[in-house]
Amino acid sequence: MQNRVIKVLFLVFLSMIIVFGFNTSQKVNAAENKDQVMLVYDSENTTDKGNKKIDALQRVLTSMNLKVRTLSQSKYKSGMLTKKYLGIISMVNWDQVGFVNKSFIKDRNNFSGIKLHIGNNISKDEVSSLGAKSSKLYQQQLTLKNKGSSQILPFSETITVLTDLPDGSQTIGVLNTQQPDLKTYGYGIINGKNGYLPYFDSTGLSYLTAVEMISKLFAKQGSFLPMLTITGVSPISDLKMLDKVSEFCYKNKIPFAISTTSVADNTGMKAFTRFTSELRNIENRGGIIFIKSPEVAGSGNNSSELRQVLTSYIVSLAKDKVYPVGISTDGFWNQDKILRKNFLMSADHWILLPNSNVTYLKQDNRSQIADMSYLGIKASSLKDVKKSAKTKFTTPTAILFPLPGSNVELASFKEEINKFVWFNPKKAGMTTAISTGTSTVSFKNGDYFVNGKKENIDTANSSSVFNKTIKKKAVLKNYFNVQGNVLMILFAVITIILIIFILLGRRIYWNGFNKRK
Amino acid sequence: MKKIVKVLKENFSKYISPALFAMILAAVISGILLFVPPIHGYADNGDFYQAMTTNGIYRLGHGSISNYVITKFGIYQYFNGNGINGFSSQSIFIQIALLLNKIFYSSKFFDIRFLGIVYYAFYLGAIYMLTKALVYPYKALKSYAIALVVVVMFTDSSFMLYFNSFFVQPVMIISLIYGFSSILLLGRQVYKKNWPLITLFFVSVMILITSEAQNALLALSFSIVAIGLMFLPHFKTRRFAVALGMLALICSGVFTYTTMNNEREVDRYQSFTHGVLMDAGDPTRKIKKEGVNEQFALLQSQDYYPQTYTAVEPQGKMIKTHLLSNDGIIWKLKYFSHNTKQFGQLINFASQGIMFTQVRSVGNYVPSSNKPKGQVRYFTIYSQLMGDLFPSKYAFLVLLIVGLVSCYGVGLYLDYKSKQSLGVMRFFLVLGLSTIVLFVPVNTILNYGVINISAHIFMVPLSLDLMFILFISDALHDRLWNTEVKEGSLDHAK
Repeated sequence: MQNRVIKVLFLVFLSMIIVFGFNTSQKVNAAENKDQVMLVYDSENTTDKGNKKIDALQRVLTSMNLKVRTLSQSKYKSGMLTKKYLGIISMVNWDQVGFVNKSFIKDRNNFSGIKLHIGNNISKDEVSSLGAKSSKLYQQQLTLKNKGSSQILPFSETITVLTDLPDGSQTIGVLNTQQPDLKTYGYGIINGKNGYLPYFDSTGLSYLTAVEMISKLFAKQGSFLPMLTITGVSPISDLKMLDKVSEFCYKNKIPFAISTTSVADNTGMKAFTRFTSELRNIENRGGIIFIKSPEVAGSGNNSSELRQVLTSYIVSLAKDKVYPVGISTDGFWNQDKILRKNFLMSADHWILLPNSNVTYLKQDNRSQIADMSYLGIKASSLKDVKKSAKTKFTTPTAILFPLPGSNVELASFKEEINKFVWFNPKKAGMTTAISTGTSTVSFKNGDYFVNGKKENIDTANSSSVFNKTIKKKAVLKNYFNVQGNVLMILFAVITIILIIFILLGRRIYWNGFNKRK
Repeated sequence: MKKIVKVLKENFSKYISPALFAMILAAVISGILLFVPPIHGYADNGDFYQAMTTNGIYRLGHGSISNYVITKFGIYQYFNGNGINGFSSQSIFIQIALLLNKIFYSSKFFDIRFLGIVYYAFYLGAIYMLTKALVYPYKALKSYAIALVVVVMFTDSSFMLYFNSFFVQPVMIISLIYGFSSILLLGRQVYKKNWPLITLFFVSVMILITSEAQNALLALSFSIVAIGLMFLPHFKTRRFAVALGMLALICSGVFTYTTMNNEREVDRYQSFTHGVLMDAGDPTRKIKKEGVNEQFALLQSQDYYPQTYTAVEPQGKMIKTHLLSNDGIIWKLKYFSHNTKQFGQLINFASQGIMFTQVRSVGNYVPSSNKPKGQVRYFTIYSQLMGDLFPSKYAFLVLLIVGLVSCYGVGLYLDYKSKQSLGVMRFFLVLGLSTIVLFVPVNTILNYGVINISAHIFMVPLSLDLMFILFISDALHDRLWNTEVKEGSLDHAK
């Protein structure tokens, strides 16, 4: 009996140990599950579009759920690269500059995490840790080949390739010279925790191959169907064209997303109702809606206003039963403290588009992550890439098609989108939420919810939640307050005065005659 | 005692004519406002940029510009790439000021007071000429009263504050007064030779027309005024010269219109968003009816250069190809001809603030005063009174103009019959100014919308003021209809 009690006690004790032990081990895992990466570049080199490359790389890393701290080597100070970082990426944008910050080079050599070098001027230490030898190719036009596609890279004065790769290293994509002797080198090279990319660009096959390589290096590789995304939609777009597009997708059972801006003012107008009814059509045809961030026009630090803008977007759209599932925005919004905090972070699904007009409010270069960030790639930049029904991407990717502007463009759009098999948010069980102060709009398995309550989008009756908050405002109401009566009296007085003048004038005139007589 | 008063009176009018009296008063009153520290002026609302860059002047420092009057600016030391940014006659005044600045102050920094002094000098001359034109040949007590009214009207601080700024308005004030006075002086045959005054008229009017793009249309109004010159006595041979002058006016109008079009995209956009779309109801259907994509209704009250965040980029391709190529002046005329009620509301809105000449949106004080956007109250009695009392309806303006034109029409008829020139010239002067009063608001609605309206209709209160003072002086001197100088009433005329 006593033995049994002891046994039971022992078992309880043991199970407690296991439970606690498991818990602690989980905590350790969480601590080890680092998601921060440092990106250091030599120079922005905007003339060579280095800023675009930095933006493209930042978005790639965000789509892999890696937070990025970006800084130029001139801002790097000794000791910044700590153990909390999962990896360090050194990016050379300007061959003539390269890395000269000695404390950075020293810290990088001592760093034990993942190291990736992008571009020329790879240091000897980096080459040796990759276990290979470097050799420079002069005045070459190389061809990149990967998975049956090929792309001719732009002519380069010099490019550094690695030879004598050690066993166990991986090569992603190959580079061919065009000379008769046709030599072959590896493009993306991974050896354990070290990686090298001789060339990086934000378009085409080289971009996709680089994404594949980076995801492998950081062990973030997945398999994702691309999301068909229509960009450039706004309330003043050609809504008939948008209707044609959504109808075509619906009839061909192609799931799609649109990225649209909205307006914060004038939402009581018929034009706005027409816009929302078109968006509702899209929802009913299996499309999902990402709300596109507005243009940053002023430069004041107006964070509360930005929050208000988002709230009024969501509220005015939801009033007409249009429920955005996420936010689409230019990459730089994730690098800016105010823009990120007051707009982007309200949603847990993002589409990160290439930068167009960059206006920072408070740039901090510390990007954050969402539950899911889609890397936006323009469809036009994938001309050289072989597409098939099996084409999959290693990170969540949105292929961007601008809204066709004419029937000719519509025809080629239809042709293009048939080349892929597209991501279906409904089938994939996509679950999203956007919250703005008082309300949360969420999407789950193809249904929409407002503050947890399921909303039916088949009818145009507006949701009761939002009806109260919207009030129509007559714009010119105060302008034209009538002061009529006062005026009429004034006119009467003036008319009388004028008549008196005329009478007086007549008398003066006749008096003049009298004198002459 | 009575004798002393009489002697004093005689001596006063002997040495100080009404014109000199007005000039001295204006000099003292506006001098205190503009040049006695702490000085006053208008702060920038963003409009300074054009005038500054074309003349190689730049702003020192950053921060809010509309709160305080800044006195010190930088002068570009090297090549100024913006120098060819269109011509404005305002540059003539700024260049004179720059020259004085470089001689007396510095070649690196520009003090706005030098520009103020240049305007001030021209302005005092204008006040002298105006008063002389109004009272000549009388020197009675009422002539001094008229001089006083001239000072109250035209030395009002709401006008004077412009002098210490890069706004274009001082050029308009000065040149219009010169043009106006030269016509009256010609009509009254004050000087023996006519050609200097005729030249002055055409030069000052051309300066006025070429000062700003929207003044291009005024060429037509001043051509009407110039018709009066044809009726000058012994002037038959020189009618050709006057016709040539009128042609020059029209040409300068066309020149202004075509060269200063760098801002036209802004105006096109804002005349749509702040004009066509400004409607008490929903403009969606109205614009659809006139063949413009109805979704553009959502742009209502949007600025071309938005302050914060905007859903649609106004400078973008979408707006350029789908909106700005469709909403030309012809389209707007068509639109408003179908929506006359809306146009009436807009035109009344434009007339509403006509007499509020003091710019409310910018400050009048220097930073050391610690009064952000502070408004000067000193010597603004006239603009305050008119702002409060003047009926703000377009219909009232029309009635007023009908009254004034018919009143001077009688003078025209009488003088034409008796072969006098004054009544005829005065009539065309009033008629020309009347077209300004009536058509500038219409033109503003069509080409600029209701945004920044008080700056666009600035010529209206100015023209009205000139017609008022003309009416007052003519009424006091009993020559509204009978322009013959009565010998008996010349108290002290020489």
